[in-house]
Amino acid sequence: MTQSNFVPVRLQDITKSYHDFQALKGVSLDIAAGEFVSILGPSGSGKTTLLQIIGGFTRPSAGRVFFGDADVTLLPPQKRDIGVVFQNYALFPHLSVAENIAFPLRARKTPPERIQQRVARALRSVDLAGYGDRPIANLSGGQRQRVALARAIVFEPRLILMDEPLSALDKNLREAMQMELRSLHAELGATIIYVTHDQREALTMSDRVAVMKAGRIVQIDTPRGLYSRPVNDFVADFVGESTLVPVERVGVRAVRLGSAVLGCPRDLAPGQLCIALQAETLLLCGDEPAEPGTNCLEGTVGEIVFQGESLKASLALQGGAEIAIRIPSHHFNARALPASGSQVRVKLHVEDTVVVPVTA
Amino acid sequence: MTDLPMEDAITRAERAEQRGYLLLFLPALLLVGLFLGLPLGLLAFQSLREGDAFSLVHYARIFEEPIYWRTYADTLRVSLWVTLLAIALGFPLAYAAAIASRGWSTLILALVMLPFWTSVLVRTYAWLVVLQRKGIVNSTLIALGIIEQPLSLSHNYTAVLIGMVHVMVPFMVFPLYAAISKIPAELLQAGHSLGGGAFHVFRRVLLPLALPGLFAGSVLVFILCLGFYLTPELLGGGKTIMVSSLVQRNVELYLQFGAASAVAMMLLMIVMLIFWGVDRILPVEKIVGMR
Amino acid sequence: MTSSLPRLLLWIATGAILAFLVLPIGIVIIMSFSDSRFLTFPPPGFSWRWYAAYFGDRDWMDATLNSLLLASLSTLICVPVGTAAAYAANVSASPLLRRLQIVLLTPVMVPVIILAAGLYMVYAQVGLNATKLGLVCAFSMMNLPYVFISVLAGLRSFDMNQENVARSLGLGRFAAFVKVTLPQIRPSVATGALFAFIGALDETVVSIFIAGGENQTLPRRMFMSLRNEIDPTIAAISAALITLSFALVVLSSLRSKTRQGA
Repeated sequence: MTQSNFVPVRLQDITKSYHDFQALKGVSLDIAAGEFVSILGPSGSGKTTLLQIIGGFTRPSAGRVFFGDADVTLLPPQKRDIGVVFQNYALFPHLSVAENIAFPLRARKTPPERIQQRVARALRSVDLAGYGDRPIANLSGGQRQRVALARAIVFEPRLILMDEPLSALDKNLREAMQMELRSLHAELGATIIYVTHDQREALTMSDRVAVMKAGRIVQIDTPRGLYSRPVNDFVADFVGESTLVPVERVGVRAVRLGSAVLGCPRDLAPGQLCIALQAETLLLCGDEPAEPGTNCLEGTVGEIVFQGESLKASLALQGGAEIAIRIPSHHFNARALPASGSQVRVKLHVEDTVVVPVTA
Repeated sequence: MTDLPMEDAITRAERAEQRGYLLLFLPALLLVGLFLGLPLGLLAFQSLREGDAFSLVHYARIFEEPIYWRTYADTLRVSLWVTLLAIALGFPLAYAAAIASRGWSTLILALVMLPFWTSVLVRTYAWLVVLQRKGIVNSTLIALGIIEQPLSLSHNYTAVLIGMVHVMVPFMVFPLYAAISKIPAELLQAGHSLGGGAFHVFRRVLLPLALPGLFAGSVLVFILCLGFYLTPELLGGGKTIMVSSLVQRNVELYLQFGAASAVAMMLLMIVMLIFWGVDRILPVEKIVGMR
Repeated sequence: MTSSLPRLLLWIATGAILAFLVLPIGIVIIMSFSDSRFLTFPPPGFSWRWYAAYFGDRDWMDATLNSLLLASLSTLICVPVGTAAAYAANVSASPLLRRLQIVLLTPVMVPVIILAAGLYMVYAQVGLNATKLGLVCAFSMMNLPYVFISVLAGLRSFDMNQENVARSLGLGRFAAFVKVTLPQIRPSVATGALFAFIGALDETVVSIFIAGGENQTLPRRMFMSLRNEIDPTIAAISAALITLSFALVVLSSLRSKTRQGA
């Protein structure tokens, strides 16, 4: 694809209500051309409604959608030039693979010889060369996924929308497809909006992630930013594998957890606070005094579970909170392993000390 | 920051879309409105008029003249009998189809479909042939020496019942089969292993679980019977047994449109009353969908 | 089923009831090949004479062709009309439309005799009795619910995202419906059309009231003939009708099976 059609997308204060239910309560979002943005949220958060509005399948109750400078709020889907991949792929079962991919080209009255060329190229780009004449019913889940992808990109759309496109695949295939989607994104320079409820998938693939809850965007940030600087307990809980423990504010950048006082990297937000303890940021340590820039916690080791590449140990803190720590399972670690029931100290880097405000 | 002109535009687009759907729906609505609504309206209008004035005389007649109210009573009685007989014949079929192996089950249902797809007129004719004086039933009975003179089997009440039951059994079998085939076989077997006899299992397990299907089938059959015309007319031998014949005679023979309209409206009210009465347990769409 | 006696009784009952359902129809078919003017059973000999009498009779043929024409025309009207209504009912969120749906079901809720009497009186006012237009309109209205119900069921199990995708890929609404939705709900449309066609072909009661003269229909003529005498020609006509209905039903079920297999 020599000249890119991809456009920036701007959502301006989008709301959507159904009867007495408000699915979207004012969503604004700016997406740069060529950016891969995931919309992450639990079911019912409004993420699919938002996608339907960007696609033009649903009208917002208020607000505007811009592609570049053009206001497309009222433009029907067929005039938006967007490639869409749905969760169930929505391939046309009465058409062959090639006919499915040729569908948008035929709709645009592309000359037949050009259609053939472009379908062949699209098939090659998703590793399905030679599959053109197959009926859809004979394809595996992964192959269907690729056909849906080829169909969505073959007509050089301005934007690609994906609604949980990988959720029907098994774990290995899903991870392989995540990598493929990433490289495809890099290759095409496409603007992609990707809806998912899988935080790992969102973090793996996106330039930025918008976390949604109850019809609002709670936070939009890079994956790293989201992980290390969540704006509140909802985001901290939803992104990453962490345990939230209430803490007491003792300074501008210090909180108390049990008897331990922990330093924080940034000024604390007002209101009630809790700490998001991620299993992989906690490190076992000896009795040596804490180095500067390190926070220390003490607790009793509970159950230890072998999980392949790592061990997961539960740790009961003073005050009763139960957290988890992750210990790599290689043999360098073998003699350092604590016994169940023993008292241990763990350390936590100040930069990894994530303290967030508690929302209602 | 809300954009008022934009919201207006959105609302307009939304309304236009809904208007489009209404437009798609309109031809169907017109078809039913013109060719069903209008006739029903005219019937209602005529039923309330005598000469050029409003009058309840046509309705009063139904309650006063025995030929009228007896026909209603007979219609209800015939419909009830047909419904009961259809249950008696339909239940074993539905049960057998539900517990039989796949092949047998398909065969049974196919043999039930066969009369279902055959026109009512053809089936009524078949019974005329079978039940006539020199028909197969009489000739068989005579050949067996059971009777000497042929019985008059057609052109009477019994023939009407037989003919109507034959038409109605499929309508009973399909909803019953749908209900019974959903009962897990283990459940019926569990009833037996707990020491229940066949009758006990039937009463305690099968019947309660088949009840929705039984109810649906019965309502459907009963309503269809109430307005049935062809079979009673042809097998009844010219006697006015059902309300439908009363309507037809008043229109075509006596040209009494007012009387015919009142009789028809009364029948319609009875049918609608039943639909309304069962609606909470059994939505209309479901009954109609089974036809 | 532990005890075999009840089971045996059940199978005997099933056989007997099935015989009750099927035998009369079989007897009619056998009778249609009789060489006798009387309906004695079994027929004394085999002949085609009643088929010859049917196909050779001008009046019967006119009535048959007229019925086939009326059934085709009314199917052609009520399939698109019913499909459009079902589509609208399926996609629209309007509560008004939802309430109006029940109106489309009333033709099968109202007893046919009432319909027939009402239509006769209205048609008498506007001169539509015994006209093709009047009959086609009546049949279309009467069979509309079958098309509506069948297509609506098809649409409900159809994934509307397919149509959304087709639109996002560049087709307008109508084109998306024709190219993507319609091919996939075709079995439902075909079932609706089949019901509509056979329904119109078999429709007797309304015909009795509003057909006649040049626009005689086959069922009406059969009914009139049956009221007077039991003519064996009717057996041949019945056999022909049964064959036609079954050919249509089997054909459509075979088609839908091969489609599923593909």
